[in-house]
Order: sequence, then C-alpha cells, then structure tokens
Amino acid sequence: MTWLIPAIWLAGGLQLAVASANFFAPKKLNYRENLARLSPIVREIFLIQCIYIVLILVAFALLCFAFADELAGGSLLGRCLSGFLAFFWGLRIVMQLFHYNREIKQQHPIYNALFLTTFVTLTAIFTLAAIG
Amino acid sequence: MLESLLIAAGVGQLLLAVGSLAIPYVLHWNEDLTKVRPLTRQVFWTYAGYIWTTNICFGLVSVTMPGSLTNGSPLAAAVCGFITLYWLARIVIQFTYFDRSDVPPGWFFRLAEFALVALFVALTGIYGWAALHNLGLFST
Repeated sequence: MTWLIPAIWLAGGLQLAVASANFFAPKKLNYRENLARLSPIVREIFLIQCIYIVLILVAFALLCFAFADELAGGSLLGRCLSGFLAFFWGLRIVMQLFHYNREIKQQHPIYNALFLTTFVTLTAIFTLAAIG
Repeated sequence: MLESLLIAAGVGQLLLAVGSLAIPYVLHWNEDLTKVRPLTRQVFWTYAGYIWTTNICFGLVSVTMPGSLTNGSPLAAAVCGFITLYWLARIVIQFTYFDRSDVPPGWFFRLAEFALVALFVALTGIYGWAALHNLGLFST
C-alpha cells in the first residue's frame, strides 16, 4: 500500500503539531500560577513530564519521516512500532472523550475538535500501517 | 549475550513500570493536585499515563523481540539510540534537577533511589551498546 508512506509522513507532521501545543500550553493554562500551589517535587515531576512528552513526540515524528517504509510493514520491528503508536493515540482518543471535563471541552470546542480529529487520524494511520 | 541483556533490560523496565504505580501514593499526588485547575490536573495524569505506557512499550519490545533490536538495521539503531537518550536524560535529571530535600526520609527510600539510579545506568549502558552494535561500531 504505497499511499501509506505519505500517510505516515503526514502522521509525523501531526505529531510535531501536537508536540508544539506544549509550547503554548504554559501560557494558555497559566502553569506558572497553577503549579506554584504544588509541592516542589510534584511540580518538578510535571515539568519533567512535559519535557519528556515533547521529546517522545518529536522522536515519533522523526521515526515517521525517516522510517516510513518500515513502519508501513517493511519489518517486524516497524510493524510493532506502528502497533504501539496506534495504541498510544487510540488511548489518547479515549482520554479526550472520557478523561477531560465536558465543561472544559465545551469552553474550547475548536481545540477539542482539532485534537480529536488529529488523534483519530493518527490512530487510523498507525492501525492500517500495523495490520497492512 | 546482547540479546539476553536486552531481555533483562526489558524485564527491568516492566518491573520499574509496576513499581512506579506506587509513586502517586507515596508522593500524595491526588491530594497535591487538588490545588491546581482541573485541566492542569488532567494534563498531569495524561502525561503520567503516557510516560508509563512508553516505559511498558520499551519493556515489551525488548522482552519479545531482542533479535529485531540487534539486527543491525537503521531502525533498530534509531530505536535503541532513542531509548539510550531517554534513560540517560533520566540520570541527568535525577542529579541536576530534582530537589531531593523533598524526598521522603528513611533508609527504604535511600535504597530505592540507589536501585533506581543503578537501573537507569544499566538501561543506558545496555541500549547504548545495542545502538553502537547496530551501527557496526561495537561488536558483540
């Protein structure tokens, strides 16, 4: 399925876009004031989590750009990585639907729709890559 | 030898993931996170879940397909290289970023920290070796 290769490149771009959201989140969610209320160790853990998530997403994106053919079923390891990425983003859909407060999503309907569409697209691409 | 080490590293990461389930209770995350806005709290738990899932994935791929991680392919080199950087960064963070004065006192937590750092060092070494092996720079 040759169309899968450009689809995986698209997935790489989408993951970079999701990673970039972490650069806007601190201001949008007022992290400075919010996190000041936490104990130092939990605050530090949160900041480390943010950095790790960005690094993980950038690494996923780089994998998509550099190894699209392997992720599309060219090797066992590539197929397994696609399976993991499908699970990763599938779980993110579940969290977007059921973990995040409905009121917050209603306050930001465009962001909610954008994120949900992105997560569904990523899950679909990596599921097809894993089974394809 | 390298494949056996990768399996051991995978088991180590799975055990670490299981053990890390206690961290929210030990550090009273729930109690602390009631002080922040709901969205920030939800982002915190989402990120924690993702990092936990990633650690499980590293463990599973190492236990189930060590041959694919050492087959000399560029993808195997990239994956092992990424896992190496992931754990190396964790060592650096442990010693340069965390305010350890807030860590619970007692010999148990001191021993746990030592075991944790030893595991991070071992994981960095094993995956670093695998990455170099895949690049043809270090034979097994």
